[in-house]
Amino acid sequence: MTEFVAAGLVAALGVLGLIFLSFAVIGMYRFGSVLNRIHAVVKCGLAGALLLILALIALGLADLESLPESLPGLTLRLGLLGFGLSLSLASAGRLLANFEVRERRSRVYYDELEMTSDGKFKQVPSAKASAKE
Amino acid sequence: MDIFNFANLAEIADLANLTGDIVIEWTLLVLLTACALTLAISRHLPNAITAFFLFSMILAALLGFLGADSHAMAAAAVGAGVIGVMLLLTLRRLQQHDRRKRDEQ
Repeated sequence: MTEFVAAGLVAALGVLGLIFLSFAVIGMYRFGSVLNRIHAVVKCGLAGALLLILALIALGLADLESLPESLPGLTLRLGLLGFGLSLSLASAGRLLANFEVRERRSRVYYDELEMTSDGKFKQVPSAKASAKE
Repeated sequence: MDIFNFANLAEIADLANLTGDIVIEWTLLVLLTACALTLAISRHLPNAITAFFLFSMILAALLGFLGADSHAMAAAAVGAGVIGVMLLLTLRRLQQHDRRKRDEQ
């Protein structure tokens, strides 16, 4: 009976994790802006990966025969995996968002067009950018 | 098959475990392929890096499900951490290069 319940728990956590990961991938395809994509990937992707890791821990708990030997090591490794993923993904998402915002600002400063005498357009630094420098 | 027979419960649990493993692994593989395709066809570099983060995370989850926990940890640390930071640094240098070029013009 315990095995049946554990299998159900693993399946529920695994399916929920997969749904979250699918949302992350769909968000990455559907959203247009980089900031929206980062939002979808970091939140949904991390939630999905952590749910899958919880499913793996539940799978280890369900294996009652090898419980005394393998459980502490397995839980520690999987916990470290979840911690590392949370830390690295959150930091990377923040850095990437920071970069994108800075680039947008610089685009606003620099991407001003001026018509030359031969009728062509030329990119020039805006007055705002000159004042900043 | 009587599902309320306790002798059958272990078999049903085994079957559910096996089916669940197959479903989860194949779904992760499909998501991984989708991320790889996005990564390959993306023209905008920050979008490609975002796809790379998701790719490395799904890869870590897949490796964890395949039983390679230590490898999954390394993939998560290196894939999303070190390589991500290196890609961001490269992006920043490219941006500085572009800015310098614009200033020269």
